[in-house]
Amino acid sequence: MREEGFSFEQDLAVDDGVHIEMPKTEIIQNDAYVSTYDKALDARWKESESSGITAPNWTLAPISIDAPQPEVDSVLSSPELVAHTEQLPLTNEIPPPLVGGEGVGVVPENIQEIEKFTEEQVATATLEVENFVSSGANEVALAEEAIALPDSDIQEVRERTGILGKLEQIRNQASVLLVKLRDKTTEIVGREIAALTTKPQKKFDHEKENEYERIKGFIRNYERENVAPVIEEAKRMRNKILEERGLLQMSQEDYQTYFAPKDFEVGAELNQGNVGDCYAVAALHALSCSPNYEIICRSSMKKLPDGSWEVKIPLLSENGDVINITQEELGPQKNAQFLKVKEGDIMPDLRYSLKSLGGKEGIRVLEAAFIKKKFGSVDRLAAEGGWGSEVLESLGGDNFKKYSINSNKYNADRKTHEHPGLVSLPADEMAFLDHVLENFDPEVFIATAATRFMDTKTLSGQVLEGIGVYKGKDTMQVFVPGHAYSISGVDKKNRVIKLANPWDTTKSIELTFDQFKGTFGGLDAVRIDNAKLLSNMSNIAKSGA
Amino acid sequence: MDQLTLNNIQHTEKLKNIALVNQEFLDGIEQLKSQQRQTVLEYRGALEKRKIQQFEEQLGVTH
Repeated sequence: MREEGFSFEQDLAVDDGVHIEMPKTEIIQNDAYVSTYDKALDARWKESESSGITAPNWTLAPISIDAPQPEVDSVLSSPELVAHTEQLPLTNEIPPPLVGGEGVGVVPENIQEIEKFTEEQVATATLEVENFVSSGANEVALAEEAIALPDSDIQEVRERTGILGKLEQIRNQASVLLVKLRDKTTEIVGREIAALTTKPQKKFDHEKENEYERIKGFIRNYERENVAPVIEEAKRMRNKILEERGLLQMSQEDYQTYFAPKDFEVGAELNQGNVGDCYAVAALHALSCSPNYEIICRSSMKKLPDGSWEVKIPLLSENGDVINITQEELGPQKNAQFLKVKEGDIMPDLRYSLKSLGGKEGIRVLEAAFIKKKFGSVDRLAAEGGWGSEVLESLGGDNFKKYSINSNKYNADRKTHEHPGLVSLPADEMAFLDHVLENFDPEVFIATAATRFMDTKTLSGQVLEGIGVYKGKDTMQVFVPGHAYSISGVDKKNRVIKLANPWDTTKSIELTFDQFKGTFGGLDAVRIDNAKLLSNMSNIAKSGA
Repeated sequence: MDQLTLNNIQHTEKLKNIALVNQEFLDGIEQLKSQQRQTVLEYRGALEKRKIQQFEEQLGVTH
């Protein structure tokens, strides 16, 4: 016997009939691994020798051990094998889907896709392991069949080589790989789901923070762009429904005649006339720049056949006070103060009559309605001097919430009021102002701004002599002191505010945020309470239905 | 880069991670397959050896 020097590679190479081409031993290249592996293998052999495991009784088509891969594959995918492997108990059942089952909640499509992908991978891998494991036993059976030794001899060789133990060892390792694969993919999917269902952790990495902010900003803009047409469509539908149910008091035609501005960007074309209610004109102009302007007017105002108007105040409310404005009240009225000198003034009042603002009839009605609501009659003289938000609050009721910020302060030492401009606001108020300007949404805000009061005693030289106007900060444009302007829009990208002087609202004045803060002394705005507005609309719709 | 592309890239990254894990598994299985083939060959070699031994015994070959 050549037991000692036996090399089956050499022997087999010359053996006729059963030539086997040896594959290159590429399995183990790492020495450390070899020794560990060998030790483990030895242990398994000893175990398997006493375990009495026998090879299964295969009924598969015989296949040569050195058959080319396609042939092997065809056997591996044969119906018999598939049927057989289906019966085999799985060492590890495929875990059920993590989430997304019925009633578990909504899982985004992407996650579902990842889960599906993972499940497919694991299912394929399981099949792969089953096929591979059964192929080992199959090959053993084929070898035994080919060599055709008596059973006792086969049993002896089996025991000597510990072949079954070795195969079981490989099978166990394959199972371990499969379990690892399942665990890792489950972990990945779990992490994705956790990321979606838990709040993101605060990151302290500034670079990542910036990236996070950048992406957040990007997504916000993307959403805005996408959402804008949807909102537009929703509004169109809402208006259509209100119109179809006859819930709008005023026809589209009347709105076009009495209210609609030629250019929405510019808003209503107004001029103040000779009454000192700049704040009211500015507020009405700002209202006309709101996308809600038409629906507010049409739902709450009506022109009667005799030419007078009915205005329900607060506008767009279910149970408002109805104020009647006659054509007479819209016309000029005699000035009770004509030629009289007010206390502290030098010049007498030279206005013979007091006129309503110049503009379309509907807006003049709104001006008159505000004055009548506040003073009981259309007393233009009484309405001189006020705040823009007051007008809007008076007209809009609780649909509007006042938002006002003012830089005026009282100097106790000098016993005077000072008007240093918005630029002097304390940090927290400034942050709030910046926030409003940077996020100015005409859908939400209706705003007026007041210029600084210029007292010639304290601010001599700043008011241009004889003209009664002062130069804005860092701009050649001039402004009327103590005067209200309407804000018709904000270009957030370029940080520019569009304003209009109620003396002539067709001319747009543009100021950068910094110029605005230096020139103006206060922001007097209302925020539209959209929820309230919608609930009012819905109530009106209900009561009308 | 638009949001859709960004989403797709992120999504593809996740799938790639899973595919990488799968690749690790496949590499392991390949190793085991090779190992199994080697083991079976060794066994077959032992069977061959036994067969040769049997022939030699039958033929009365002495060494």
